[in-house]
Parts: sequence; structure tokens; C-alpha cells
Amino acid sequence: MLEIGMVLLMGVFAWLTIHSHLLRLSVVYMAIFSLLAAFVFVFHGAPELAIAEAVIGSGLVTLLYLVALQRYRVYTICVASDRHSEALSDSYIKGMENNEIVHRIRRFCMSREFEPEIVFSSKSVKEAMSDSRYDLVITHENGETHVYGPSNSYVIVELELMFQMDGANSGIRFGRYTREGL
Amino acid sequence: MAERSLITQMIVGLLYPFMLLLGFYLILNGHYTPGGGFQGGSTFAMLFVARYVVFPVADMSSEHLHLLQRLFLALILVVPILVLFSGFLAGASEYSGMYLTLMDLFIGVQVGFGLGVAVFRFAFFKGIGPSWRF
Amino acid sequence: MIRMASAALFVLVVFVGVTVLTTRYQEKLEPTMYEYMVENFQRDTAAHNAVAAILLNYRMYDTMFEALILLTAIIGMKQFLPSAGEFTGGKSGRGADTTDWSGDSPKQG
Repeated sequence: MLEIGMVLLMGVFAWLTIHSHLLRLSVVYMAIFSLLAAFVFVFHGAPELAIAEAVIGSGLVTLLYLVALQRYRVYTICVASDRHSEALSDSYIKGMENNEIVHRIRRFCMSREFEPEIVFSSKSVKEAMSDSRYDLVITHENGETHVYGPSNSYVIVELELMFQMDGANSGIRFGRYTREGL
Repeated sequence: MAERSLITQMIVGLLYPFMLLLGFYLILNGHYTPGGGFQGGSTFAMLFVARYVVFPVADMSSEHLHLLQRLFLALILVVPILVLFSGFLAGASEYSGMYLTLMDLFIGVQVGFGLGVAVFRFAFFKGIGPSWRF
Repeated sequence: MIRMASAALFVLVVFVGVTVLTTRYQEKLEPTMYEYMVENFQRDTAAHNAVAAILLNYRMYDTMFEALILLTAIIGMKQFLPSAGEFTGGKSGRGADTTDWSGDSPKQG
């Protein structure tokens, strides 16, 4: 009876693994699935397999997946230039790369273990905002840098706080946007 | 590196010696109780992962681990050829337990270091970006 | 929705069918190696655990080549996953020579 219940629960957790919206939750469901599989092995009289399944499936693979999830978070920053004439020239890109604000954002991403990827685009700010590939949109106009982030992102809040605490928020303005509203 | 959660550090630190103990138990009692080289070795590999969770520092060279793994693989290949296939154990059965324990230990260390190399490769992987080229 | 429901129905039917078939109509093969090993493993190998006896004595070649397979897998992993410090190509040129990547960069949602 217990065994049949565990097999049914395995099916439930397999379904949850596929259909959960958070990858982190998926990994936890998969660990529970492996643990139930180990119990089923015990009921079938294979304790060696049960130990191997519990150690590898429930421990090693879960931790490896969590490490991979933590390591692999790419944070895509779009530098929108809005079709300026000098946009995307080498000197513009070099200047933007050596910009102090971009440097700070990059260092912030490194400290949070994101991998910053800076994309230079000729799109306008609105087009860049509506593109779901970009997590942060930077634009540079009349000597002032505008940083836009999605309104449901906590990263933009922390970023704004960091600029305020460092006292480096002189030439910079922050904005939020919602993707549905655009 | 970003600071880690204190809860994770405490729990992993508490579990660390017990994982070491469980690995040795599984390996050394492999011919009496369920367990054996592969299971104990995987538990040793869990130690590497736990170490990475607390200290994400690449101060352990995966080359040394790989060298040890190759060394123990050579032992796994050589010891049965000398002891088992030569018919030595058929005449002296009092050494059989020693042989089983020794082989379990070799397999455990080999599997543990092998999976440890795999874990370190995954953990300190540089990442696939636009700069990635073969 | 209909596709998903039909797929779920198919999986359920196969699961129930396989379970019923394998539990109702079991076929027992003639035990030849099995009986010999269960009776004699303690005398032959001095192990108290039949699995250890089979893995480390009766089927030693299997264990040896299993260890070899693990080494092969690790060598392949070392070949294709460059770790930090050993591979430093193209780090400074990020973003400078590429203007806009049209392809999707994989990332966590």
C-alpha cells in the first residue's frame, strides 16, 4: 500500500518538475522524486541501488543543478542609442565601455554573481524596453545617463541603492517600466 | 564573491563530518552490509560539493584530483590481475576479506575523485558567452 | 489542450497496461547462475554480501571497465569545459567587436 502510494507520488512530483514555473523549484521537486525512487528501491529489496539513488540522484545531482543555476545567470544590459549618427561607431562603443557608470553596473553584477553582457543596439529606448531579452536598458542623452529596469525586478532597486550609497548618482536617472504597458 | 547564507553554511558544516563518516562506513563495510565502492565514492564526491557550497574558491587543483583518479584506476586494473586472475585467492581464502575491502577502497577513492573533478569543472566553468570559441 | 490531454491519456494507458501485464503474467526463467551464486558465494569469496561478491569477484571485468568508463567521461568533460584560469581567450574583446547579437542568449527566466 505504501509502495503504491509512493509510486503515485513519484508521478505527481514528475508532473510538478515539468510544470513548475521556477527552475529552482523544479530542482527541489526532482530531488523529492529521487528520494521517493530510493524508497521504492528499498521496497523492492535493492538497498544498494537505493543508497546509490539517494546519494547521487537526491544529493549530488540536486546540488550540481543548484550550482549550475547559481553560476549561470546572464544579465543582459542593452545600450540603446536611438539611431544617432555616431551610434555604433568604434569610438562610441569604446567610450561607453570605459564609462564609469557602466563600470559600476558591471562590478555590481560581478558581486551578485550575474554574468553581465552588454549589448550595443541601434534600437530606440521603447523598442529595447519591449524586448524581453534585455534586463536593463541604458541610454545616454545630453550628458545624462538614464537607466531603465523592469518594475518587477529587484535588481534595479539594489542598483539604485548602491549608486545612492556610493554618492555617485550625480549624472544618472533611474526609471521603471512594465512590459505590458508598452 | 558574494557572501553565502549563514543557514546553508551552518547546516553544511554540521553535516560534513557525518558525510565523511557515512562514506567510510559504506566503503569499509561494503562486503558485509549494503554499500560498496561506488556508493561510498559518491558520498565522498558530495563532500566536494559541500565544500564548494561553503567556500566557492578554486584553490583545489582539478589536475591533482585527476592524477589521483588515474593512479587509482591503474590500481583497480592491476590488483585484480595480480590477486584474482592469478588464482592466488583460490588457495588462500583468509585474504579474501582483505582483498574485497582493498578493492572497495580503491573504487571508492577513484569514483570520489572522478566525480569531484566533474563537480569542480561544473562549478568553476567559465561560461558560454559571445567570447566562447573552440 | 486536446494534444496535452491525449498525451496524458496515452501515457496513463501505457503505464497501467505495462504494470498489469508485468504483474499478472510473470515468467520465471530457469535459475542456473543465480542458484549457484546464491549458494556458493560465501565459500568462494568470503563476502557476506552477495552483491559485493558478484561485483568484486565473479564479475570483476565489469567493474574494471566501469571504472574505465568513468575516467573516459571525465576526460571528455575536461576537454569540453574549460575552467577559469586555464582558458583566457577573448575576454577583453567582449562587446567591442560585436554590435548586436541577433541570436538569443540563453538565460534563466
